[in-house]
Amino acid sequence: MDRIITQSWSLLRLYWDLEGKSRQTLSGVFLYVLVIILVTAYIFGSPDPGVWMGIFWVILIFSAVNIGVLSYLQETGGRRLYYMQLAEPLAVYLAKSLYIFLLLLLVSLVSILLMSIFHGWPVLQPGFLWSGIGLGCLGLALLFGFLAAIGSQSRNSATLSTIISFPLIIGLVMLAGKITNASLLAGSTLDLLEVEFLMLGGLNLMIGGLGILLFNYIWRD
Amino acid sequence: MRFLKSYGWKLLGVLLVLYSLVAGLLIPLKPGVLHVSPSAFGPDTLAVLDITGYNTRFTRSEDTRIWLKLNDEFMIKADSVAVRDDNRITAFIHIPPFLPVPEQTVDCALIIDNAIDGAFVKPASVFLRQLEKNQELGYAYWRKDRIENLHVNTFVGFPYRGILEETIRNTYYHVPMWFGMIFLFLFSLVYSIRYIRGTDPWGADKTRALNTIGLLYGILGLVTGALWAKFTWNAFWSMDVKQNMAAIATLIYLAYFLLYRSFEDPDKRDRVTSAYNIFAFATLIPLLFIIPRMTDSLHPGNGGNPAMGGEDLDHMMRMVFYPAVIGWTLIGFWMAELVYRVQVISHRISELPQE
Repeated sequence: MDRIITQSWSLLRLYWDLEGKSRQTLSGVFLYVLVIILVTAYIFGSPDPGVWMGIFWVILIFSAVNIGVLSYLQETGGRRLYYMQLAEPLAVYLAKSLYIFLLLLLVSLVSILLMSIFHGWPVLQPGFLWSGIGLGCLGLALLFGFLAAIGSQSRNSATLSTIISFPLIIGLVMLAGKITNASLLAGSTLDLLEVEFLMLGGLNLMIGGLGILLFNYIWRD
Repeated sequence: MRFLKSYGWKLLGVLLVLYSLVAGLLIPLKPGVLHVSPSAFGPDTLAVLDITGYNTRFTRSEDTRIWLKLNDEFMIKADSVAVRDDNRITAFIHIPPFLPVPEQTVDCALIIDNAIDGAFVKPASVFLRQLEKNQELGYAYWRKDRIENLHVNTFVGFPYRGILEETIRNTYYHVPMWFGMIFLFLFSLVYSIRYIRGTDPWGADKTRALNTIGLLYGILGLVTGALWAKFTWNAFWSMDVKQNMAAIATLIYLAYFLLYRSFEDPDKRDRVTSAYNIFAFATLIPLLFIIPRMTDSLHPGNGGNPAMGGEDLDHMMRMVFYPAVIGWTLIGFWMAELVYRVQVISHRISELPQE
């Protein structure tokens, strides 16, 4: 167990350093976020609260796909074999998911900041917004840590990861979206959303648990 | 005996499906009221109600009686009725000047009873309004008549329900598709787990065969549902939560086949698709069983529990519905077995030495 944690930690730092050097993923994603926000601001002006939240989730879903796919795409051939010898599959999965999770949180922060400038700020209860984003990002990260690995095993991996992941994320995003939508209403309380929080937490646990159990089978060659 | 042991379930499946087709399509509906016109009356008038029945035999019975029923306490009886043909009857009802309730407008159920068709109801079919209120006088008018000596409907048939009408039969073909799909996907999950744990080397092929038929059932469920929705909700697709979730579920399994085709190495393909299949089934559960319960839906028994409620199926329908579910599920497994056997044979052929 200790070994897994040490390995995940070193892998996470390795991913971070590599990203710091090339800035391939983040610069691409931030460019995408900026373009979407500017275009939607041009089209919608300051949109309705519901539309505001919709734009945010579209940004987050596509960022998650991009980050997930790119994080595995960079590891081809020799480098991949090297990681396989170096680390346990479980450590790779945990490090990948955590890495995607951190990048997604960063992307959410930046897009919320930009959206508050370009689209206005319809949020009345930021607590629900941030908890919804946190749980949603965690679920997306655990899901893409697994699905992008599946996609990377095949030919044309980028398209395939996107196609196989879209139907699977809908349930997750619907639940997280319900929580973030509550942040737009003054009258939402924690009691009203108890079921959604429990369900989303349970879904995250299930996705993470299955990822941990099954990653071994898709990673080894 | 050996024949029954190995083929019995297939035979049972064929018999049950045939039974559900014959019984489900041939048994007629019970009598019902198709429509009533006009549907609104003012106070103190002689209402001439033209009633169109469905599967009724008015000419054959002489004692047809008709009531307007406001609730269990208050009702009025038609003064006379005139039968025009088997399906059309006119009722003459004197609408009293006052209603026994304080509301300005009320809706009444129409009750028809005779010896041949038995008693049947169309709820909320006539609207009555009053200009002045006098509850005391209203009591006198509305308590005069009683609904009594109703004939028991001995007619063997499926219940007639407004909106649904003949499409009530779709219950035996649309709903079993979903039951069959869930069972097929459940077994494919079991075989995926067995393959991945190394206990069944053919597990991945069985998974694929079961998913092929499961997906077929899912698509058939969507199609039969859309046709039914066109008749009852007036649109093939009304963004109902269950329609959407079912469409997403079929997309998840379509993605499985895309994934399956994108590998060249069969060993790697079997491993990865089995892992995806386990993952896919797990994410299917919130889509099909949790989210629909949290949202309102047009499907029956919704807002809370999407199961078939006691109101939706009567005794007669259960006699067809449960055999249909079992029969279509068995036929699904048989089809999956055939797909699997074709796969195994084509594996063997491809392994034969070339001439």
